[in-house]
Amino acid sequence: MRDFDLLEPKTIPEACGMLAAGEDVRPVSGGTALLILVKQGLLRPRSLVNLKKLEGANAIRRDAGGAVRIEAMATIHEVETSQVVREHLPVLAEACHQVANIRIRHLATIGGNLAHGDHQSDPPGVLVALGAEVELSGAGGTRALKLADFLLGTYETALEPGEMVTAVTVPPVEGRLVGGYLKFTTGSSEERPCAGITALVRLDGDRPVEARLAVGAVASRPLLLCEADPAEAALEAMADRAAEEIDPIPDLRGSAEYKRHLVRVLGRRAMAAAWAEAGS
Amino acid sequence: MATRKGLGIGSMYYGIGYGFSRADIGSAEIEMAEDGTTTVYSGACDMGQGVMTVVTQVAAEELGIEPDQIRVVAADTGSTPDAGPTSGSRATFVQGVAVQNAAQELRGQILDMASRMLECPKENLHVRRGEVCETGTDRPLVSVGKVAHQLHFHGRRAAAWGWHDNTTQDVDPETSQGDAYATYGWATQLAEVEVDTETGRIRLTKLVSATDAGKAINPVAVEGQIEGGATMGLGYALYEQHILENGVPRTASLAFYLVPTSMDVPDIECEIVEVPDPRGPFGAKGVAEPATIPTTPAILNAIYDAIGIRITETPITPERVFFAIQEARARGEFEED
Amino acid sequence: MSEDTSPETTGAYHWIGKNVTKPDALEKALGATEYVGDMVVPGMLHAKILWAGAPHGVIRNIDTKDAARVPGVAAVLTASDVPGTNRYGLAVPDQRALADDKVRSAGDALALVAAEDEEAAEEAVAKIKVDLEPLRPILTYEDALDPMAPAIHEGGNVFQHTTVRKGDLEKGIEESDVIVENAYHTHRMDHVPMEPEAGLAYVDPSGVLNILVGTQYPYRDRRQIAPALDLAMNKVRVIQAPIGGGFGRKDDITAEIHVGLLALKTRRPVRLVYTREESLIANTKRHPMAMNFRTGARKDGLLTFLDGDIYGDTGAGVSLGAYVIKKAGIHATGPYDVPNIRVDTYTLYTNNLVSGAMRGFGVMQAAVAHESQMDQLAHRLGMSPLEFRIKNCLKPGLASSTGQLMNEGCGIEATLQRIKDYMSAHDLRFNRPHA
Repeated sequence: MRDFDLLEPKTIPEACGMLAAGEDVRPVSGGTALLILVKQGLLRPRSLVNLKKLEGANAIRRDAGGAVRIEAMATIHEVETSQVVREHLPVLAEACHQVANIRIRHLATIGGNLAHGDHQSDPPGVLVALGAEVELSGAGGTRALKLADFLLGTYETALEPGEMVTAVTVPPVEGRLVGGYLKFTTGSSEERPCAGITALVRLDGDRPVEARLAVGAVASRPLLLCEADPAEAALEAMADRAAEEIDPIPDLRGSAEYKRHLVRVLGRRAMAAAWAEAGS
Repeated sequence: MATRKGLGIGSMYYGIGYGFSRADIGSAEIEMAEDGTTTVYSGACDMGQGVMTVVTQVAAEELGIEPDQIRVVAADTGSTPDAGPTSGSRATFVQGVAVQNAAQELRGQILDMASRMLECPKENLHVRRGEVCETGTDRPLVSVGKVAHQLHFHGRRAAAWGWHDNTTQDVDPETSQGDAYATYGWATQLAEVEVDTETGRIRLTKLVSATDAGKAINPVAVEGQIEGGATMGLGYALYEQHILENGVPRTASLAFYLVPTSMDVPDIECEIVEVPDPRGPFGAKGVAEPATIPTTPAILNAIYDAIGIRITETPITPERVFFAIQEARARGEFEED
Repeated sequence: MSEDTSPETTGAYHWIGKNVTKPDALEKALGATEYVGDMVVPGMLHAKILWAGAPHGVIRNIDTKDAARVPGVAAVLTASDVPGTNRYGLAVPDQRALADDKVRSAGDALALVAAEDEEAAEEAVAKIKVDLEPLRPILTYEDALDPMAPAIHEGGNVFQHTTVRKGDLEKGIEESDVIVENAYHTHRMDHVPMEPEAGLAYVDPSGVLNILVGTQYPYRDRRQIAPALDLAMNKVRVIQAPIGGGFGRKDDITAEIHVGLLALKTRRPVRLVYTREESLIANTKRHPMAMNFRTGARKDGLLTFLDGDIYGDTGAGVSLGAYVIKKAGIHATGPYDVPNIRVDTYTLYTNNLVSGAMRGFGVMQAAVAHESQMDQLAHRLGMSPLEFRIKNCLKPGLASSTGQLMNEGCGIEATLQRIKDYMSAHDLRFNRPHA
């Protein structure tokens, strides 16, 4: 591994100023993804901008309107154990709990996870299902983008040079969301997901008003299907539609055909579980 | 969810040691200092499995001293004799006897000198807890340290050499008939699996390993071998495949080459079986390889017990199981729920 | 823990059968043990290897000029710098410390660098230019068995053919009421010891080359290092360093010759520590095997014959492969009394990574086949797989596949009985054969 300078900004504008210096200046938070790339020689940064010491950059808050804002430097473990997340977005806590292993979860940050753009990961699919937005900051200022529009493909995001992810916000839910996250691995339990299925049912009182099915880790970006006023009979069809629409990336974990099948089976299971929870 | 449970067993035998006329030797030197503390110069490599501890226990037993009075110097061409490799589940079986022989000879030297010092027939003496004692009453007469001091004082080293040659003749080149190995290890494992028939995913939910140690010199160390062996067997059965594409590794990283984690290992019941083998030290034989070989076949047989489908290719990936179920379905041979 | 009722323990022994604490347990649990990768010696250089990365080719040229000019580099060595035979190998010396005429596997080492720090060594490795003329790689069993395919080593790609013959196979087949036939395929596995390969070498003032290495057998290392580097054996001292597991792969030469060569050339201490990625690329793996087995039994549940072929992919070097595959052949029956046997084994060179010793040593693979066969026969006969095994297992007085008479150390029935007892104590039952 080559030597690099470690820059330690105190504020986000200061960090953005440093990142504007060029392509070989890279931000680092937990380093769980970046350091592997550096060790393998795929990235040779001149400087790393350490974002871990930014003031308040790991806060998780719910505003008066009900939106949950997670600052980008919150670790996966902090998200998983946050009272706010557990109470208001339990599916996100559930998914984050299944990321890699406890050592990784203590280092990796939610912002780094999204900025990395790795499709073989648990959080992106769940956050897309929750309709999350990302906040991006650069020397030119701050902008917000739907996460679904931010994730462009494998290791591809809408980040402009010099920009970084500074927060992810989940908008307030009208009514109540039930459901869960189903992770499927083909190897050991700490493997990356072969498929990560989020199934949610939104309730107005006791009445289901929307069903959402998000498929992560199968294609280059998460696939989200929504259905208004769902009936139980429509749930299997949603899973089947996801299996048809998905464009699986074949890899060591499985062929495209097998992954498409998994989306159907796991989609049905996850939707059925969400529906059962909605009814109880 | 469509899961089915099954039980399967796998058995094996394994020739302990090298066979095929390959040198299968052990040797060690033991030296007792004037204070009775003892050093074993043992050429056998400890891989973490504990052969250093085994030779300590063997020497302590034979010399009648406490294990904490023994230090082992191991595996160095500059200071220890050649004890062969630590492989083939042979270290305890072969080196254990070499150390036993060395310790017995040193004990003889101590008793000879003690006999002269005490003017008492050697036959009436034995060593126990670091003291030369009167046989029958166990009354301590003199410490081994004092005897060792006398040996050193008279220029008679309190040291002994022991060796053991376990080499076996090669089998017949045409028929492979012959006594291939000095002895064999034996083991049977029982695996319980859950098969998700819709995804093909296999979960090992329980493993019972009945492994013949001959005589477990250190039962916790034997359990370590059994648990580690079963975990390695689980990795072989389900996860660990090193894939080459045109001869070039595609899985040359732990991100792609997956070993079992503590989350994947079920309860492992260690059933230590002891059928003493007179050729090993105190009846002991190696367990390293016997502990890992039965796991994969036990899992394969448990899958068959669960779903009636025979998987003939490893590793048993979810995709492989899933398509095997699909093919059986297509032939009308799958027992639907 | 299991209940220990043997008279030896309950009676006379003081220390045998006791859980004496391993002397190295505490320092390991505390993380205090110094492995080779933790050792630092004054003046020590760091070594890196250039790996072939391609399976088969003729080496036209290796240009090390740019690499040697990297600041901090003390030596860049190729095969022509090796003073001795440059060869090693546990069965036959068919492996090169540094590839000379050809590349035979992606895990072949082409060049060595020693530098003041790992970064400089890495940079130098990246600047070595290799001119390799690709050859058709031999990658499958079929390729290796094809007599018209190019030979990887002199003498062809079938390194060894062994035969097990016992009884009268035709008679065994005739006597059979059920016969089960299957093809089994097992895969390549890495040992993944916690500690990757590592070695530290230095020449002491008396001229002895000292090598600290995570090894399974220092004396055999010495036997291989001395001729490879043209040294008298008493000028080589190999010391087993604390080791983080081996599982068979450290039976072979790993870092020894490379660090030894660099220490001789630079006259400075040299340390080499593989990355995990390098460990996965280089040295030995578990043999993939293809096994075709036909096994028979009579209605009364007794085994009649085994008719089998075993093909083992030993990669670009034999290492211990010839013994691994021969052992698979004589263990192909499993722990059972099989009166009539024909088994042939083939040890095949390919341009895949070298296969060698790994915990289980050929029997791991053979057991996949023989135990699957046993279950299928039991099911065909409507017998419990456990009872079928108890009926057929070796017992004192019976003979193994090699005709070896079993005696008092024969424990298979005891292990089967223990499982039977466990199942009945825990009320566990097989689903099959269906009642």
